[in-house]
Amino acid sequence: MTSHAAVAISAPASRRRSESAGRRALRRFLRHRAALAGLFILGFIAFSAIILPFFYNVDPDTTNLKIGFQPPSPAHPLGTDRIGRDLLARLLYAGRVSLSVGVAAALFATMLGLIVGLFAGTFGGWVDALLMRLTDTVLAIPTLIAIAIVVGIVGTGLEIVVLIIGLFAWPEAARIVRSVVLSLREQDFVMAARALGGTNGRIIRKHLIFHALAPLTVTGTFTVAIALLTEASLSYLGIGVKPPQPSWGNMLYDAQQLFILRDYPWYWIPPGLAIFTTVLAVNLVGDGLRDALDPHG
Amino acid sequence: MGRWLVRRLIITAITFIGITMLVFLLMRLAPVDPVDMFLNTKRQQGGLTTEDIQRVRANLAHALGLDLPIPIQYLVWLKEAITQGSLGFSFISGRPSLDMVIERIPPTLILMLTALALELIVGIPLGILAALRRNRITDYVVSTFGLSVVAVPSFFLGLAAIYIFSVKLNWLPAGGMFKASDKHVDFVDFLRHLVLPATILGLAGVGPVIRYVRTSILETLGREYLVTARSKGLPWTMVVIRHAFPNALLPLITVVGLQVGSLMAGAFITEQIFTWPGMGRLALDAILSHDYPVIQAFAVITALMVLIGNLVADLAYGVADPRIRLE
Repeated sequence: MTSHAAVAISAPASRRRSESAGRRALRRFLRHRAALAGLFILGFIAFSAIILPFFYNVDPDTTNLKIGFQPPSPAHPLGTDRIGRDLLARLLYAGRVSLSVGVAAALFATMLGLIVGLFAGTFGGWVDALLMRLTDTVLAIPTLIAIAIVVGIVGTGLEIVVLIIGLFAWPEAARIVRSVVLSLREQDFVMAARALGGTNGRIIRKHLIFHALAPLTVTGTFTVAIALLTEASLSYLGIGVKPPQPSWGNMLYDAQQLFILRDYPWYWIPPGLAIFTTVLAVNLVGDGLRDALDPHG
Repeated sequence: MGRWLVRRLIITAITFIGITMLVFLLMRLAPVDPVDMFLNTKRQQGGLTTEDIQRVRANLAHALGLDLPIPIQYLVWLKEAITQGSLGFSFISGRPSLDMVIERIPPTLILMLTALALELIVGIPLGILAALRRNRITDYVVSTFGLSVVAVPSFFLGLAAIYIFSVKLNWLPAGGMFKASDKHVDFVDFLRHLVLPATILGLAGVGPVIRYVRTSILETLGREYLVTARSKGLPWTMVVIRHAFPNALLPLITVVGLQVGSLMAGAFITEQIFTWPGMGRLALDAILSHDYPVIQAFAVITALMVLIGNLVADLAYGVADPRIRLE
């Protein structure tokens, strides 16, 4: 009975606090001009990748050797590639692939980080020591090289790229979640929950995850940027997303040949700019979120 | 100091052994069987029929110790690595894989160190400038620059640099380490080849340095000992130079240590863009042709270099800041 009463008292209080905190964060985010610009650019890019292919009805995989290496024209607004594929169509479809890989890998990494961080923070002791040693080690690994080696051995593909980027990108999230858990573990409301008979699992679900969500969103956003860049680099090297499936990175693969780099700039500049703009926008949004969600700021 | 040093060394050694286990295990997880791989190369070179291969296969697997349990295989591999300095032979060239990787270390190291120097030479002054001119136009320009170089993929920047400086302006060579026609080593020519790759690699890491220096200086500027120095009559410029900089910049050593990993990853890409003949290029070729012994040697050497880099940074920081040693 007592425990029900305590929950009944604490729940509305925490909800009221979260609402006002949410509104304050939104207000701060909207004041952050660079972050708004980033969000706007990101919206535009996502819209182009998701919606535009329905209107721009050109198949990205149709080859036609007779019209290879064409400069931009009304028929092909961004020109054609080596084997006559329409570059605008490829750019749009590549956007779908690259954005999905970036978001999926970041989500996976953040989930892994959340799990590791919760375990380390909640259980402490040797579990914590072991997991943090692992985190430091993964953090010191040159991620791109490790991923290249793994891909070189197990082979490549869209799903493998997502999984492997996720497997190497979790340490930041793990550290943040752990520090949140450690700072909350000794606080009154967690002690109270424990005193009322709350198990570790219940305390994590009802209290800790909620508090870790804000910093986790910020790290998750930056992880999207890292995942985007990693996928692009791997695909550029020819060990990421495999053609004919387009990705922004593998669209630059052909530009490794000097004559393409020299004579056909429309071939490689648009996908490069697409990666740059997207990653910059994601980072700006991340900066804005960090400032908006910082409870001390 | 002694005990602290020993502890650091032991942790590094344990991590290294852990990494070799991981690398070894990864190789055994490979979907391609090394014996098949080896025999295929032999068959393509001629001289072996399918029946021959069937017969040779079992013998070979036994001779190579591939029928032993995996932990035993690991120990055998480790013993060979230590006693004979061998990590196997390339499937493609037949040469010792470790030798192949080691002879590629100098070009990579030169590229990395030049880029690191560039990062610090450009990043530290810009970070200080941004901090001292906080929230003014200089700060915004510098911070935007830092954000942009982090966001731009280095291969795109590299391609653009080749397009502008090699193709359009014809100032610098597009790739390689020496002119192909040169028989003797021409130092000036070498430097001309180094400029673009080192700049691109350095730019990729300059963002974190700027950001770190800026925050660190801003934090230090609020400290009480600066007020003390100021109130005893020292001019503000001297206060900043004598008291703020050393304290703010010391932890940069750790940042540099952590950069070793990202520098190596950056070099891996940069070498492909500029056909720089370092470890990274060798490794990508090995990855694309499933040359496992070379990949393995590359992984071990890379791990060793990162660990040594971190260890050196740790030691340097310990020497520079006595508080660390007391921990």
